[in-house]
Amino acid sequence: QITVQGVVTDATTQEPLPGVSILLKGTTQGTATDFDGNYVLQANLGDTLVFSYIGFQSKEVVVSGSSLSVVLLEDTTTLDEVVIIGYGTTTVKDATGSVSSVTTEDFNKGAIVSTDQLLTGKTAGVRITNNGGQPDSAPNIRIRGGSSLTANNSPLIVIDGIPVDNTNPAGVSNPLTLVNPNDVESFSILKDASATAIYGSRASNGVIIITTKKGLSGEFKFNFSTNTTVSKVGKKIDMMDGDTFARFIKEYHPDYTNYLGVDDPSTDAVDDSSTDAIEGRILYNTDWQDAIYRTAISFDHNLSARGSILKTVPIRMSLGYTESQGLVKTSDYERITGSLKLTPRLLDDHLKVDVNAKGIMSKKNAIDEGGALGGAVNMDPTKPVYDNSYGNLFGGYYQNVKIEEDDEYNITRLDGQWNPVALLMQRYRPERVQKLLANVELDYKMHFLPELRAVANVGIEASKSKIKEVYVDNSIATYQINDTEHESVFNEGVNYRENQDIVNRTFEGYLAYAKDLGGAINNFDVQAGYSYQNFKNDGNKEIYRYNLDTGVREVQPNEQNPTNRYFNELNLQSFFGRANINFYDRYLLTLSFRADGSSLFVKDNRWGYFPAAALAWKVKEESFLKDVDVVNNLKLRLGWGRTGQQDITGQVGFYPSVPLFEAGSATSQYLSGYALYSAINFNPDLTWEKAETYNAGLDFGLFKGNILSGSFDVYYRTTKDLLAFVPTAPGQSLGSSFAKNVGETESKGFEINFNVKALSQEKMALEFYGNTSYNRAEVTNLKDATYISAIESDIPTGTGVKLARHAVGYQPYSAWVFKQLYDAQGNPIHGAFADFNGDGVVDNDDRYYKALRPNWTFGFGFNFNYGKLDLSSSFRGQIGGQVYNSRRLSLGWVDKAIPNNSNSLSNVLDFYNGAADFNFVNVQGNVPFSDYFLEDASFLRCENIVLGYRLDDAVPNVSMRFYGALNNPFIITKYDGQDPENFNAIDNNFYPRPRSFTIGVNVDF
Amino acid sequence: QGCTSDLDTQPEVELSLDELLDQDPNAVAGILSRLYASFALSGPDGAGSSDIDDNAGESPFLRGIINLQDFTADAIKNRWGDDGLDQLTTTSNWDENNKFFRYLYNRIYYTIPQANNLLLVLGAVDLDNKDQIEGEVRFIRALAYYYLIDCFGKGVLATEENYGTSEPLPEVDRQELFTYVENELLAAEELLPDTNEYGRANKSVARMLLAKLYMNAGVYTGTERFDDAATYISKIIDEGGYSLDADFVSIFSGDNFMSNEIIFPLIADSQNSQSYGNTTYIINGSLGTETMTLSQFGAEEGWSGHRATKAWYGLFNNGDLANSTDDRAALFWTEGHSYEMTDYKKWTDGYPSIKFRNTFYYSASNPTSFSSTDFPLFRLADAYLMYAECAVRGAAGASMSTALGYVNAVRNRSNAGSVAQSDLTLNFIMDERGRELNFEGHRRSDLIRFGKFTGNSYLWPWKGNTVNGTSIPDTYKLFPIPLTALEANINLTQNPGY
Amino acid sequence: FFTACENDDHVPEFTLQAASENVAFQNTFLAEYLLSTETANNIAERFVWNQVDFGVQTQISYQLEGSISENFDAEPDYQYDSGTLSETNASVTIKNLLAMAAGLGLDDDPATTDGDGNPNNTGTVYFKVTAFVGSGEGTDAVSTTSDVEQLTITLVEKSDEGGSGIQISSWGVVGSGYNDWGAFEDAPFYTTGTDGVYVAYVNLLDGEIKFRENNDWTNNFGDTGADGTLDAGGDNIVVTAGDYKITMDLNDSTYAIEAYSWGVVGSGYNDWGGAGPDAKFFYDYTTDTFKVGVKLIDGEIKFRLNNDWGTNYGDSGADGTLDNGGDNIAVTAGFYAITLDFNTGTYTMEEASIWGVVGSGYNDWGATPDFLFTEVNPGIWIAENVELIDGEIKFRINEDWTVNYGDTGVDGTLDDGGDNIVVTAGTYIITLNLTEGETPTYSLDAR
Ligand SMILES: [Ca+2]
Ligand SMILES: [Ca+2]
Repeated sequence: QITVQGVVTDATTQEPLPGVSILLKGTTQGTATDFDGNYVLQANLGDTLVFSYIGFQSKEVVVSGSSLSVVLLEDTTTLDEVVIIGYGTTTVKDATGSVSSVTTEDFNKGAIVSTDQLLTGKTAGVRITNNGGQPDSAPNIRIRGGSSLTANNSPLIVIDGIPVDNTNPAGVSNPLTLVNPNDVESFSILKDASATAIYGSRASNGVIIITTKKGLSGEFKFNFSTNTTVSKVGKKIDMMDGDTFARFIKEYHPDYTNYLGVDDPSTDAVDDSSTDAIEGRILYNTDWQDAIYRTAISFDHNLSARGSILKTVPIRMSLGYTESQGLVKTSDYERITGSLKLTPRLLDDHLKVDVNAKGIMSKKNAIDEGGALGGAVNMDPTKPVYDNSYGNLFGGYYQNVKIEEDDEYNITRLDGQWNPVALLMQRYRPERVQKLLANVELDYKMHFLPELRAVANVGIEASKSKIKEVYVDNSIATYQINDTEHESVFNEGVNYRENQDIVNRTFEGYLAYAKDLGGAINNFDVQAGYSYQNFKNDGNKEIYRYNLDTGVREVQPNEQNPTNRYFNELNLQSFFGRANINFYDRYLLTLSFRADGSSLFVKDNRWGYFPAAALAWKVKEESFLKDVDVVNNLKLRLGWGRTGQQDITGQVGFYPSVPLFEAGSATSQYLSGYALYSAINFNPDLTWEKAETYNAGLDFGLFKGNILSGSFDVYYRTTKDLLAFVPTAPGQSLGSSFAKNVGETESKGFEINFNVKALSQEKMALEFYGNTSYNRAEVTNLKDATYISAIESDIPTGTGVKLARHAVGYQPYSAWVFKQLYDAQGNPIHGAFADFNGDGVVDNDDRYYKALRPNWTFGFGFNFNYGKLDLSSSFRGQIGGQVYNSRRLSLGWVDKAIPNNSNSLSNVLDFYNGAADFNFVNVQGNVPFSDYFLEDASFLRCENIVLGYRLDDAVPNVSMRFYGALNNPFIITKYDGQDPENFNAIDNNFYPRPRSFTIGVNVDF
Repeated sequence: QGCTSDLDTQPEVELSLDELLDQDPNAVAGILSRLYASFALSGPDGAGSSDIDDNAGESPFLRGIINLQDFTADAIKNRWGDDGLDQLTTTSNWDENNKFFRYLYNRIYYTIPQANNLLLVLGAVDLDNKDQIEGEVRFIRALAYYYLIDCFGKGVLATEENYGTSEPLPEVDRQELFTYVENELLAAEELLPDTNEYGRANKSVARMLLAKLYMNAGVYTGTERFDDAATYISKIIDEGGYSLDADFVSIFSGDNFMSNEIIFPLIADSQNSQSYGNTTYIINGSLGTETMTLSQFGAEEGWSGHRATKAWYGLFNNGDLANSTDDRAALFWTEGHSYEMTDYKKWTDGYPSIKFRNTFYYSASNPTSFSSTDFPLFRLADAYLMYAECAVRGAAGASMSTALGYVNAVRNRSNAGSVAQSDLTLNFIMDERGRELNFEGHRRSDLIRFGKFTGNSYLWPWKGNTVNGTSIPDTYKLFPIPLTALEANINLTQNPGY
Repeated sequence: FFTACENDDHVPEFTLQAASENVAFQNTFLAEYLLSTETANNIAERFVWNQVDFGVQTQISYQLEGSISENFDAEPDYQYDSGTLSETNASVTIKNLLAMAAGLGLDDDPATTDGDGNPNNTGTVYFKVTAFVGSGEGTDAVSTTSDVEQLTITLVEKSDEGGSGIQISSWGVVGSGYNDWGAFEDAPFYTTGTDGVYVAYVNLLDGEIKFRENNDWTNNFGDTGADGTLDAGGDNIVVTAGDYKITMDLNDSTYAIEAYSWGVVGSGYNDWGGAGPDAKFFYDYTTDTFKVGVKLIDGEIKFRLNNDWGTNYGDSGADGTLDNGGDNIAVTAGFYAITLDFNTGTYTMEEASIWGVVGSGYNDWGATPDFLFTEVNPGIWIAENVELIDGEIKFRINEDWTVNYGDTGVDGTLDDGGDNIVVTAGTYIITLNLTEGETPTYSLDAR
């Protein structure tokens, strides 16, 4: 025997690979590489060593000397790759359900602030649409389109084994900011019911399991990464500039030219609208969008260490600091994250302990988005941003006012639009959140019966939020008039406070028995367990009011609820079991069952039962394929399962099934001497929504080295007893709408994921990946109704006006619109619509449905390596779908420029360059429901382009990678408005997604 | 299994009935307070909250009454141009999508089950004044139904009997609703006391509603009931203990809780009862800084919305307001405004009504953001004019000479001068009701009863969306049933013409 | 499975075409539209037009507009706007045209002329109809507008001769619509400036009437076929209650019945119409004027036709001449006799002694105002449609007992301070004949 030693490196990155398993072929003898990729092994010349490592293709090398260094090639679909599923793991080759795994190397790169951004566009059937460009923007994640109409459609998110809360703490928009993206090792997306049913109650919309990086055995290694991002606004809204606006007012509203600009103090002239000049006014030319936007600069620094304490307890620690500027001024976000993971193996490896702790502290300045974004488009461009004149009341900001002249006093009243820049600068609202997610998982393999394991997982998710809203001195928003004293009063100071504590407790325990038999039943495992989750959200608010005498805001008393407390508690408990049986190592059967109880329902309706079954046929293992080299993997999966949904808390709170009363607040009292109490609406009949899914899937890996690999899934899903927030039959409940189990939907679709290794050489590798999915849902039954209005489809033509409906026979969330008529030149005719039923009248009977959400979504990209250079890019988009360009509705009509009850003007879209149509003089009656406002939302977005270069050993034992990334550099779309990617398909007051450039460095040492 | 009891989560802010009763000895009155409040407030948590799905500012009951009863009629026009509101102001293009119909409808059907719920609660508690409270609840419910009858003409009959039914209730017609409300009010009249605390129903309040129901019975059911109307009006006048206030303006001022004329107010309070839908809507909506001084009317904001038309102020001295002796003719803001409403969207076209204001009448007061002026939903002058109308229509038990006395009492209070008995014609009554009661939520119903609302027998500015007014179809005597209601109950059908 | 790919988006774009044909009026127009306030509520013309097709199935709307300006840019008061219509016709009333006539400055006073000295009672108004799609707003509205139709409107001028020549003719009005087929004397027709043309001013009841000579059926006219031509012995003419002017033209055997009553309106009388009908003027053939006895209060009055502002007179400048739409006439409380003279365009208003009906049979002996008489001809006082109840009445002056008449002996002659007159309930025309100073008489004619 000789001593063989060497280093194992990654072919792509040329980084050493720690933890690679090295076995003498045909034996159980072997070793593993250390953190530097080094190994030492005793072997005979001529022996074959098998090098294997998760995520890489195994390699067999014959020992021909004492030095043997090996380069391993990445394998994105390594069949032995561990896939994390609920309550356990499996491997790619043994998975029976539709499960997608996305790991580090697949992640999006560049300016990544939140974890969801890693995943966007990366896997078929998962559509992630954030709410816009805020630093803390909430992602809307839909797996296979979601199964519910108005109940929560977001997937369940499980972080290191803990299913987390759907409710965000106050001050947090994006629940995934909890996890620093640098800590994430992998996502596992469970899409079909056979995979998700084990999560039962909250799994109808799929499950995303996030696993964070672990420590490793061996010496400590460190990673430091830092990057800086510069962002700019991409597309602005096509408003009129000052000159154009003045021209427009002269042409279309000549009576109002005296409202343009500001008064010229040097003259008493009043404009004569019959002349071209504007007399007596000074006209500015302000781009109010430019005025509120900025070039935003963000920093992100992360330090992590991994290794082992005492060589036996693998540990990973990380610390991250992010300082992120939003595109809108003062929209600032700051975050510190920390994580700790310990994964010791005790009692001769019989006890696996997994300790996780993740903490985050964030501070966000929540801006008045609607006020600023809306104000920036509405504000008259002939007005200045600043006003330095003597006597300016508003801290130097210009503000339109009306001087009310009394006999003795002049009273200055605010008038018209508030200066949006001042709105941003004169209020700050820090929202501070501290959050901890910690759990301990004990996995004990019985000494007396190693096939039996007992697993217990105890977790806590706790957060503390503090919100404070403060107005600075002289802020416009606090300006009041003390009419009796005839003086102006600014009520600066604290306006609002909120404190909130969330404590969510989880306990899960299960027994698992696994046995290898080697016979017809090759192996099997069974599990049975119990899960307890309790979510408690307890908070209070301080609401302030004006005091005209003192000029200081004061707390608004509320006798019935002095602290304005709110308290919400949700309890979920489950019993579950699962069996995996492997016949002949070819046929895999999974059976699972889960019983769930929810505190949202009354006792009789409380429990839901969710069975599932799946069968996988490893075709490759059949004799006729076993030796076919072209096929590396071929597996057919069939699954069926039922899942449940109960989360309607967003609309009806946490006690929707029982009769309760609430006390009226201090300003909502009525009869003198009595506290006022309202009976709250409830529905005792509420129960589980159930979804049933059939799924068939095919996993394949073709050609040598899995050059082409991927999967194809088709599915059919029906949801019944839909929990929807619907108008209640008039007079039959204590309000006008409430949650109800109303009907059924069905959806079908398919998904393709593929991966092509176009080049796979030591110096150069090129890989393409792509995915596409098609999903189409249809409402099939709504009990007594034929449609329900989609509550999230408000269009800005006064509140409560809904564009979309869920209608029987149509796709959910379809716009219900009139067919616009056009003249021969293609101009829309105001108020003219097709009379489809030919009765000579255009009314609701002539409206038709147009689905808003896209049926097709796709993503693709490539990774290219050449030596130390890497280049990657990813793209994604949708085909179809509509977006309602409500800017055209709210800003694109001629009379919009003339405000209702003020002595000022309001900017409008640029009619002269075609951004709006002069035909739209108003937007009343049927006009807002014209399909003219609907535009094709198809788009192709370049998510990122990243170029990196690695520099090894410039400093000993230090490896560095420098990179530059463009995020969101371009989008290809026919949409005229700002951004077609809009989750609710209604484009209004949208916080634009930035175009960013990032440079960064990643240092391993 | 021990943990499964945790599935019975307990709220800590909201209260069960038992907790509420334990905690507050006046709990039932507090629930009753909320029922009354349903006509003035938007929701339980300040002016920004809403009991129903609809916009808190736009959807309160009283706002709905003003929008639907006054904007649609001859006297008041709104200029905001809001989609839906314009259609009311111009009595044109009404359809089931108009949210303003929905607001009132939803308010009606919010109030009714809340009342039903309280009736059931009453069955389960011990109370000394249970009968009285039952009477009040049944009155409140009848009031909600009254507006259903008047505005929509049909609906479901939700009562404590069928409370909690999940199957959609059948639609009942106007006659059936009429009979139900009539019987409820007759029962409530028995249960209610002669006098009650401020803002709460007594016998006269129930009688007033009953009388209004009878006055319009011909419209509602095809059978006139003026004799019955006269009977109940007489009782209010003779037994109610009300008297005309000396000064007209005092009835519409911030301290009008001191009035002895108001029979049933909808309470507003600038601190404790804030709403964008009580008199705040009337007062702020009628003020505009372009031409008026807010503080003069005790307001902090002017919304530049509502102006009267010559169909109202033309009733005074042929529109020569400056030379009219009638005090009521002085309650229009003419400075900076034109007599004609050539463009209803132009603030200065037409005179704003300054009948309602937030200043106190009997003492000095400070301007406030929200109004403290209670809305006189029922008042004695209305009863007097209803009596006179009954007399002119030949109702048994109503005498012309008494009627003349009442009419002249109302007129002389405002120095309008006496009229002769021979002057008491239907046209006169209609006009006098306009002079006295416009902007008080009665006008559309009145015009319909006088046969003047639809058709072209009476035109007013912007009727039918033309400046001089044009004919509108008879189907406009009812509003369309809102689409959301048709959606939510398959048994409901649309009114003809929509 | 893939049938799921059906797309909701396959509704083609809809492009409106030019109108299939222009919109055009299809009714025939009269050469001249004669306007009089008496006929204000009549339909002057029903405009009818064709249906238009814009190539796409949609809702087509129409708007009929009228104006005194060919460009349709006159003051709103002088324009007619039908609003948005879905039907293809609309009717315009005489009242609508009268409003335009006012805008054109036309009047029916023969004494006035235009700048060229021609009668200023004729003018041109313009009408057009527009068919459009959609709201009709916006710059690119798809529409088609008819040719502008010019209509000639003519205000009927009042007779141009003084009243002296006017006589009571032999003809009269009889019928259930007036005097229960002769229960009392027929209502007289008066002669006019034109031979063979007679006019009666009469208060009718719902019922039927005929015209006859000398209170006798020998010569009588009805109207068989209700076509406006007189037929000897023809069918009865159905009438509805109201005040009318009946014009009978025996030259061409036509007749016309128009609503017609002048009245006093104002704060000085009936709160500008708000407090009851105007005080009606009665025709005095002896002076060809209209007269009324009335009790006024402090205030202002005007005179108007048919209880309607369509035609009204005030007195701008307070010079005693009537001015169409002129200023209000200030009055102080009292009893007045007012005379309107359209021949001279003047009026007189004198404080006067006005007889009235008082009694338990009418107003509980004065609990409410007396029913006042008008002295229609010298010494002849008429109170029309007095609603009496069972009881007693007397007649007195200015609601004062100083001068009062009863009827001692129930002989039809009035006695100063005489006995009360017993009456039974009913509606009466009461006439006092004080022409014979010694023996004043009265008559109670139940209708
Ligand atoms: Ca100029
Ligand atoms: Ca149709």
